Amino acid sequence: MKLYIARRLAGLLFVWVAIATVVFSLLRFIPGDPAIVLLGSEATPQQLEELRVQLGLTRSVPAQFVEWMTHVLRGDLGSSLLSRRPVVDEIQERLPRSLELAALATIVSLLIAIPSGVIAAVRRGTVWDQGFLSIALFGICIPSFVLALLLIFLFSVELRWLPLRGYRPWSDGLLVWLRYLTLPALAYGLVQAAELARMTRSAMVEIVGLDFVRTARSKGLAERTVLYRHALRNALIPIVTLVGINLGVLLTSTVVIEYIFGIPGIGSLLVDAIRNRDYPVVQGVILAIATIYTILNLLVDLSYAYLDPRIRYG
Amino acid sequence: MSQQMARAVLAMLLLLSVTVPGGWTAPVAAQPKKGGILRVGLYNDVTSMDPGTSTNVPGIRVRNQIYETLLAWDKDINLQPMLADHYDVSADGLTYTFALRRGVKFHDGSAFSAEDVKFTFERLLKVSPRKSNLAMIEQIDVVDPHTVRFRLKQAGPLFLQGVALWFSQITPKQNTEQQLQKHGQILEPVGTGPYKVADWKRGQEIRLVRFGDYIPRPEPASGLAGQKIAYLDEVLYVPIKDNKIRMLSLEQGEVDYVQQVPPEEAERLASDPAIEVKSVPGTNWSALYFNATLKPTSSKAMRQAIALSIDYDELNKAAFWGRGTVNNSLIPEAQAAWRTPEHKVGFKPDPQRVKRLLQEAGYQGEELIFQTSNEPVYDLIAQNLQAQLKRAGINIKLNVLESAAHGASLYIRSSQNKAPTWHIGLLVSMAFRPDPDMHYYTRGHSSAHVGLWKNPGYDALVEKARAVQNFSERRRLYAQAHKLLLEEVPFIVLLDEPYIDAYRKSVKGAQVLDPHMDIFWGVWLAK
Repeated sequence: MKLYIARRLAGLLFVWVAIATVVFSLLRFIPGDPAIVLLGSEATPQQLEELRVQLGLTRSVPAQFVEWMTHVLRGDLGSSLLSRRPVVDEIQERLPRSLELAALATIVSLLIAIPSGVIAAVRRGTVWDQGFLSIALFGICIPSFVLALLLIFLFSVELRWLPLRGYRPWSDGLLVWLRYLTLPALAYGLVQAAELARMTRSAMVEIVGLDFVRTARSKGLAERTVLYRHALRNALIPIVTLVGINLGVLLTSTVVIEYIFGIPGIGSLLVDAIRNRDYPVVQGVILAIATIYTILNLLVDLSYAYLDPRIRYG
Repeated sequence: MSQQMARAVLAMLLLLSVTVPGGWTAPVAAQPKKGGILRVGLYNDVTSMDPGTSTNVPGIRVRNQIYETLLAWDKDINLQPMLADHYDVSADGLTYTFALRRGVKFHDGSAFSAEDVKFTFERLLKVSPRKSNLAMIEQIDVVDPHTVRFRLKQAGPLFLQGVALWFSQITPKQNTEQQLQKHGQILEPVGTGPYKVADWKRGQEIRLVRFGDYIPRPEPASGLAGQKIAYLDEVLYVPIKDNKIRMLSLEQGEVDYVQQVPPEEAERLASDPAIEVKSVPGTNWSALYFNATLKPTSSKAMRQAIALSIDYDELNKAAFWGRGTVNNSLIPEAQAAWRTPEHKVGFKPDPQRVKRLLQEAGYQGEELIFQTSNEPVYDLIAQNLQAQLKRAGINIKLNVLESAAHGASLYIRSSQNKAPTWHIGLLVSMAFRPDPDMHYYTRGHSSAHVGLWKNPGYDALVEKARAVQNFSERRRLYAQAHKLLLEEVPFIVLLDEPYIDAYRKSVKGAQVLDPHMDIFWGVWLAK
């Protein structure tokens, strides 16, 4: 098991190098010049050249790559061309907010998806099942930003229960923090829940027909225990996989939600950096996301062994 | 008492009754009062507030409340003293001696002195992305704590402009040196302005509070110049990037003031009785550049034909809901002092002449490449022009790129020393250019025109205009340059963009000016 984890973590290094190379070269292939973005429309050729020298953009691309890589391997992601702050600081400041949002959204989606998926599976073919399926289909079809605007209209404009936008950290109080993150988490969680509910339903449909479920029932166990302790546990592997992948996806795709709700997270940092051709920030953020993604994948794989004792890593 | 005298006395009595308070005078405007928090919706994040290194526009707006320059622009874009009390110029125009205001303090409590001025400009000359605007400075000497002398390499009007521009904001020597040692840049802004930074949560909010030790100048407030009285306890900036949400925040009363109102939202906001929409002529304009190295835009007749086939009023309605100002000159209407009667002359649509000109240019209906960006304003302008030119028999193909890529393509001359591949390039300018040199030289001189247009006569005019000191002489030269541009058409200035702010009616005393000039002193809340 330990050896397996060590091997996976070593693999992370290769993922890093590969992603770093791809991102670095892609960024240099797309047209755009950070010096022009920084100086704007009044820049003279002389000003542009001076700034490029200052930003270290005049050296050859391979030379820039080698320098950047050696710094990265020492844990230094460089500094933003725009704010001139260390990229590590920028990420440290913003990543937790995106993680909070992703985690809350996942909790919302689990709370909705698991019970409704289980009910739909158990009452297959009934009105309940049909109802849940239709709502879920609607959820999959609606883009999260449309849902976000609808939620804002209902809860912030009409009812005035929740703030329109903004972000408050934990330190301002747990309730305040929650008030500001509720709508964004709902906008994301509801869309995620739809997909997850369908997955839960199909996994459960298979399981509830199996012999061991009948055995559990004939032992006289309560229906709730049968469903949630026995059946659901066996249906969890695909669900956990989906949740793990979604959590990774959430981190990167929160951009739209972050933009609408004004949450200064990692998604908006990345998009702004791409727009401004802030190369070090784009590279740093993508590396950070790739790392989280890989670790999430590893955790999902490890959880299989816990969920299904027949699975062993060696 | 004669009848005449009686009449005179009666008249005097009448006059008195008008002027004496409590008589039948019109109600006096409410008195400004101190206190309150003004919440401002910023249209984008502030990435940096270091005057030395940052060109970030939202940051410049916030910095105006915090920092001051030696000279400042008033509302008519004329220079007035600010941190300088007055200045003297030597006869040869090479030495400027500034007498500094006394008793001025920085937010950290240190006294403002000539050392700080010397330090600020010496740092700018080393690190500023805009250092070429100050390149004429040869040496800076501290004469005494309240006097600083600049020696220039060459004389000209641009030095004073450079001293007043946003990057020339004065920072305290000692404090800045400490910050540079620690972070390599200024992370905690310390200036001499009427508001100081209390808290800056990056991406979240910037909280400014009144600077208690600020002593306003005696002259009346005007633009960035004159008396600055901080009535507000706090100015709270929150970035709200999404246009719709920013407007909604104002309507819901979550913020009191928003910048950069899109013209299409202005109408709706104005119908809200609680909201005031102020739309003023801006100093930014949109322009079409022509590539002089490619056929057919290398032909003067072709460029003239394009200029004369556009209905600029129609464009104004389509792109700016009629809130822009039609103006084919490089000097925006907002810059009244520089405008001459010649500048009012522009292009008048003339279908007959267009036909003749197209024939003369030998245009056969081939597609012209129109380089533009996917930003909303660009989109509206490009699509309207495409339709208008089509009517005149000119076919254009829109090449729409994302903003940074568009910039790279538009400025390929200055970034890669290559000729552009487009025929027509659209530029929506986003900078404050108080001196016509920054339009006429930077846009049209043969060393700078992005479409490589060259005209020795024009070069001579704008070179002379940046060298002479006399205002009316410079004005005359720029009027001449304008006439030449109307004839040669190396670019078409389409119109001045409107500058629109909106605020809740409880906000009083707001001056809405150019985008680089947000001003929250003199503003108070009637709540």
